[in-house]
Amino acid sequence: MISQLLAIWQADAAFPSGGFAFSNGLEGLAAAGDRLSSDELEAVVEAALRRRWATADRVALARAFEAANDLDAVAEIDREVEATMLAEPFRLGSRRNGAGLLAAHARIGTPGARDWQARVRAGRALGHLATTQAVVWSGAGLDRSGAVLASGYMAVSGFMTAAVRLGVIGAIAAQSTVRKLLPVVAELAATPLPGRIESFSFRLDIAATRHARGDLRLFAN
Amino acid sequence: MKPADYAEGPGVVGRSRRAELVFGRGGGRSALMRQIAPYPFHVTRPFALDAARSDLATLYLQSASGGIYRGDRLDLSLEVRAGAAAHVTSQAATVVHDTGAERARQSTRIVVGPDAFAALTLDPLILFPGAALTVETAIEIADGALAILIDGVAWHDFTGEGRPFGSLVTETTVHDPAGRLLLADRSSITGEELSAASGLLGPERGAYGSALLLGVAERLPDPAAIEDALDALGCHAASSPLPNGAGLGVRMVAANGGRITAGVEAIFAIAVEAMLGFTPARRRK
Repeated sequence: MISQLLAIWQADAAFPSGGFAFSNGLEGLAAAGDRLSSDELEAVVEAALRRRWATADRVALARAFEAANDLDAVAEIDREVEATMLAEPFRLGSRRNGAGLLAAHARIGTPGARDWQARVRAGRALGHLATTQAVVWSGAGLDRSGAVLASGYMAVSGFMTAAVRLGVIGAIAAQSTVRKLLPVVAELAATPLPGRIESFSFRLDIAATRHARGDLRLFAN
Repeated sequence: MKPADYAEGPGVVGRSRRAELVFGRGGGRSALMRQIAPYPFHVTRPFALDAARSDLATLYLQSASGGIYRGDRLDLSLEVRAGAAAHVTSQAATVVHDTGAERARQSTRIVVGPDAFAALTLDPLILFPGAALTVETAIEIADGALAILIDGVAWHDFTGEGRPFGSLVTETTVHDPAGRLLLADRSSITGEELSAASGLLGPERGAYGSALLLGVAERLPDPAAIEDALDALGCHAASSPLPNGAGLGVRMVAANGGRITAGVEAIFAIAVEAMLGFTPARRRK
């Protein structure tokens, strides 16, 4: 039971993971004039879950989670994450979000957090979000299954929180969309891991990259 | 011969062929030092199309068989040795026919030597219903070298019934000569996902393309200039710095493959201007 509670604890928006600063391309889509109905918003988030979270973030997290006691191995996965994030706003956002999560866990004394933080600060690791989640969540006592579910839930809630703040959808309607997407997360979390980190994210890559050069931005990506 | 006939043509199942092109610098020009192009590959002789850089060799690569078929395994090795400059481009879009139970594979290995320039610019793949293809591209780039890789993907059902292609699995990697991975662009996608009203590409988009412009930052174009040029052609695009200082990446989406073809040409022209300092002549096709 404790592993489920730990997963809920980490997925809770009250935990200072820094995820609120990232729209993951949604702000760019909204700014480009793509008027998103709730159905279209759901389709965008589902596409991101299926072709980015499940095939890239989840893979890096699961692999790093298995290797969490060997930070050299985690750092190697971390470098692969860097190499596979071609769009700079996502690459920098992942590192910044990882640093935020890591800072919180270092302060509360999660086992392994300070060692990983020292590597990142020394430039011997990049500290991407997925690999950092693996290190600190393993240290905090989550099991791999709980870690994957927490990551998937945070992907959905991050999009929907950003959508509400951007005025794309109302707060109540957003929760209806979250409810529809939870079975997608559950389905994807249960699928076998692909043999490689991969993603197909043209629409969000383009939106986030174009928006990154804008002067007025609410989110980091 | 109609496209539907190609898809069912006899004697084209499971070809395994490897082509090899090696360019080297000698006598003030870039010479094609080695050429192996077995059927269905067909290459033209190298042309010097640019008065500003007569040492830049341009060669057209085409398929003599009307496309890629069930079980095909087509490999291309392109090496541009130290100081040489070569541009290899396709003659036209490549049709990928229904591959049935045997996925086709296409691989390209590009080695760019020190201070060399290599460009591979390809018209879009046109994926027909039932086409399943794996495309692997591996680039090794030396210090001081410059490279351009641009390609695209579109899909088409010649019966007008909107049947999707099967699947497309891709991997493009860039390494330095020491074997360090600089970037890996990998994806798997089904035709159904792209044909459906999913959120992957956005509304009314029937094609996409990518470019890698590899080299040091001071020899690369302004990302905003690339986006402006592509906007004018009806390609919605973005350009951003690649990981590990490898260069610039471009993603573009458009209504159809024709616009992606125009986008490929535009990116090539802008990149050559920044990398080599002149506006390249139009590669007529």
